[in-house]
Amino acid sequence: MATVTLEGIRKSYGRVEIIPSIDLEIASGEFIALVGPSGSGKSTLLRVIAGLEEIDAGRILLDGKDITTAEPSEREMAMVFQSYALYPHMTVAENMVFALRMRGADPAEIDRRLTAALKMLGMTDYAGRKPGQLSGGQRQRVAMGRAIVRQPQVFLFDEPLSNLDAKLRAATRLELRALHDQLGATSIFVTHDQIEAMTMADRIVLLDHGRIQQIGTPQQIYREPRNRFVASFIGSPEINMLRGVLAPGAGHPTFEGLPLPGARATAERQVDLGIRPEHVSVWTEAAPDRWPFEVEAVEFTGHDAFLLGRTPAGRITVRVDPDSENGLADRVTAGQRLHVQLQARHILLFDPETGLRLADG
Amino acid sequence: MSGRRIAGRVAANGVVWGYAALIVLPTLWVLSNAFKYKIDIITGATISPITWSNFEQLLFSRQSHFLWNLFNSAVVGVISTAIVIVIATMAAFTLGRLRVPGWVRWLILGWALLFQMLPTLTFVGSWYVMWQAVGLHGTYVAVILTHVVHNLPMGLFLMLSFMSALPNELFQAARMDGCSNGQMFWRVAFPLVRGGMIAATALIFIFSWSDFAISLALTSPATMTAPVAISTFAQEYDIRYGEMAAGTLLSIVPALVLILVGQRFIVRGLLAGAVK
Repeated sequence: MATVTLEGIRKSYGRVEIIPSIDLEIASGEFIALVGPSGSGKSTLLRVIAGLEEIDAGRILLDGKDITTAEPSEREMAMVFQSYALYPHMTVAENMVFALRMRGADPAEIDRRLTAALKMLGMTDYAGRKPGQLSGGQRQRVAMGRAIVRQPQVFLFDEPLSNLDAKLRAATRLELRALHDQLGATSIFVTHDQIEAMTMADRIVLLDHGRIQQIGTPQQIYREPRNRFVASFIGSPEINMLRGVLAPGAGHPTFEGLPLPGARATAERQVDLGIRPEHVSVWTEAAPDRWPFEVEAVEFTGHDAFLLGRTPAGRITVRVDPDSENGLADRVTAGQRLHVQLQARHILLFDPETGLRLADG
Repeated sequence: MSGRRIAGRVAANGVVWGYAALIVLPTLWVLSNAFKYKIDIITGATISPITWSNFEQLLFSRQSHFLWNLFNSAVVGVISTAIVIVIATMAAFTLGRLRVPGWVRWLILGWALLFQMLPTLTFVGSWYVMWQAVGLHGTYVAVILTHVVHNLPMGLFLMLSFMSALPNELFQAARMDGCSNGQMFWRVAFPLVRGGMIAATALIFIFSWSDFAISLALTSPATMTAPVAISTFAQEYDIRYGEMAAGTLLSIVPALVLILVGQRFIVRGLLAGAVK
């Protein structure tokens, strides 16, 4: 159990600034996900914490102790690599105890930890095999086991699930989170997959271009995005983003001249209006507060159906529950003219210039 | 099958067989000469009586010390190859895996490439003068060290390609596991490039074994290697084709054995870096 503190971390490769400046406080026992698109600096940040990359400025503290210049092996951290990075010439058991052997640990203790880790991961029967004789999922387990036997203060995960197929990934997600709860160590998990971040993490750190865009629980990040980037990055399908003029109007507010009752608008201004696909309702009949909607495509995914279409204010995606609204989802076809209503309390407004969320949105 | 496809096949087969003929026919001709009387070689007879006299002359006559020459070749080849492989593997690890300033890396590799591109004969004269000056001309030391210098760039490039084929994350994992640079080399890099080392060893040994220019300039009768010895059969008034052919045949054997043993690794070595 340990806290990890990053103070003013800066990192560049030559002239390319990867991380302009990052401050981050990670609580003991917390499961933190570093999320962002490729090139956001999330993997670099993890490597910086691991000590595999040197930093240009800033400090890294582990439980208040400065480890900025400590060797990777002295940091009491274990890493699970994206490629697993298993030593191909060693058996599963040798791979797992390599770090302990290098440290000169007591052989009886090594054996005890190895046996426990193999059992925990269900890999006891495979201890004598080489990585080349294992499946992808088993290799992933060995990589986990290699980290577990070290009993580190902090686990570092670099997209460890990205090489697994979809089914296995979902199962491993749960296992990994259970393992974290069982071991009680602090975990830092890098991923570009928002589902992984949302399902596993206590808190999400969303990065873009080496800057923290928002830190928060999955719920906060999803419901209260601080800016347009966060709103767009989290959520699948992506949030609808419409640029236009929001005006107080006569009687009720309007957006691009379309009715938007319930929205707050004090003065006429240009905004980016964000609304998630599940926060738009669809109707066959017109009404004063509904917008015309022409369906362009229908996507049926099983538990959801999505209508992609055009409103006078721009293109939007709408989620329709296949089981309700009188089987509407099954009847809709491309070209059909329907009506939509934006649920006012879920509307998010952003400044078109800065991308920041507006206080009245 | 269309006419064009047939024509294509014929052309492709023609090229392959033509290329094979270019390599195989002269070899077969030389090898057949080893079993012919001199008169048959000179008259160019294809079918002729078989004789072992060329081998008897080569191995047991007093003018020839071919077995000793083969031994010299082996001494020079084995020792110089061993030195090249050890240096090349460690240098490849250092240049490819450790933090070396960019200009150092480019200086060494650039020099190696330049050295590899210049014809060997350009240097032979200087080497002769240098070894003569320190009084080591004609010794094993001179030939072996010069072979090392000559073959090191090739060894370095080969080992570098094997070394860089290893995933970076493996070495990062080793660092997390507490390996020093030396441990990283012995426990991770070395076991994983062993196949590459075998390939490089076979290739470098063959280069050293078949070298003529350096050995001609730097050996004395006591340290003369097989290719140089073969060339001495071509004298001013008498070219002893039969013995030359027999010597060639005998000197091919070790290379052939090495290729058969290390073939799997050699092909991989020549293709290293070409495909992932």
